[in-house]
Amino acid sequence: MIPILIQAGALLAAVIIQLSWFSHIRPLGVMPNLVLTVVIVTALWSRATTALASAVVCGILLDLASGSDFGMRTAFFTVVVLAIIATRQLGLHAESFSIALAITATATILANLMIVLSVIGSTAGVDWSVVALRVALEVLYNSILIAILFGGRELTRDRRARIADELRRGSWL
Amino acid sequence: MKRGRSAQRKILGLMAIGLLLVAFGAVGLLQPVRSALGVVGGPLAGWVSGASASATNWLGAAASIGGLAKENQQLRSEVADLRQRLSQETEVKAQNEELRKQLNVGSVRPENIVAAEVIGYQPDNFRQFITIGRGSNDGIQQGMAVISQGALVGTVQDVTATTAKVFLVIDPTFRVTALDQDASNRPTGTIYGQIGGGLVMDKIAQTETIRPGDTIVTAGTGNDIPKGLIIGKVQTVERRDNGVFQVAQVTSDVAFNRLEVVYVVARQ
Repeated sequence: MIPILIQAGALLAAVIIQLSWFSHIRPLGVMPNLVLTVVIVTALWSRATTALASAVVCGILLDLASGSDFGMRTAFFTVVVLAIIATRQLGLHAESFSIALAITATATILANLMIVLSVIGSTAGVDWSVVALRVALEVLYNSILIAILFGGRELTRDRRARIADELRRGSWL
Repeated sequence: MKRGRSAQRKILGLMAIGLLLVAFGAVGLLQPVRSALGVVGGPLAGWVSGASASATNWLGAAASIGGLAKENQQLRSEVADLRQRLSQETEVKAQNEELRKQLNVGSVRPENIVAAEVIGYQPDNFRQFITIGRGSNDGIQQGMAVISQGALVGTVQDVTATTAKVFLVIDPTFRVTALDQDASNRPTGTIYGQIGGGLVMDKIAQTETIRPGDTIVTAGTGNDIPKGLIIGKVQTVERRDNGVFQVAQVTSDVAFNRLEVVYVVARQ
């Protein structure tokens, strides 16, 4: 129960931070996508059902908070998680930082491309150099977030193992 | 084997739930959930947003000498307000002239303005929306104009009891009819948002003269957006030899990603 509550709290915190805090700290006018990185690491490190539930919950919350394209984020996060689950079943090494970076970069590019393509018919024109620059910056920021999440995981590995062991032995109170 | 099937069932179940939620949301059945989230999450988001803005401002002020950044921001805000007043005065003057010709023209100046705190932003880098901490309980209605720093920021799109979503003027799909306040013929055109945050004024007739530095204001067509709200200043004008229209790049003084308080203009 405690791990589930911690996970739910972390996801909720990620959504709130994405919607309020990150909008104020946009280096070079671009904000990172914390929720996407959290969904990706959940898909890499957790069970399939947990990852999928996280994707649906985060997607719905962002869609409800967003002013446009209802359902797009839920659908995208679900597809990303399913793709990661499928590749994990094929033998993907989920602990690999470089694989996480590659997945994050690909997902960031696809997510932004989807948004740009959704407005292309109803806008005056798209400056692709601006789009490329913004996407490149977001890839960079998301990679930094992934590095922080991986770093945090490494630093707390022993502690988490001890807690898991105590939980198994029923001595956690 | 059994465990694998159970996991598959769970995955399929979760996907079905996700699809149902998306379908419900698309037809508006999740509006009560959205309202409830606004009521529950609004104050929390407002607090986080406020704290983030304060932290960002504090860091900015600390980086400058003797709080120059804050003072500069206040002065900018004052200049923007004065510009807005000047713009409205010009508009009133033009209206007076028009009224002398046609005595039955009504006033377009806003009477009611509701201040609203910005509590959330769009979670991506290409669409441009904000969430404000005022809703239908405060008289906010869909389509109302929203201003800040003396200029048009956007229009209200979705309203719940305590929150509202504002469609920003810099969104790539935003449209508003505008006119050049400084040109002699007061030519009109359509303002479009651009990916990256800029503004373009299109559909300006080739016969019209429009110059860099001219002030662009709302034309007031329709009932929702009052006439004379500043949108920005013309930066460059592009005349196409074979084109029917000319296009102008317009820059707004509003810092869209630093909005903390905006003002909703009630219908007249």
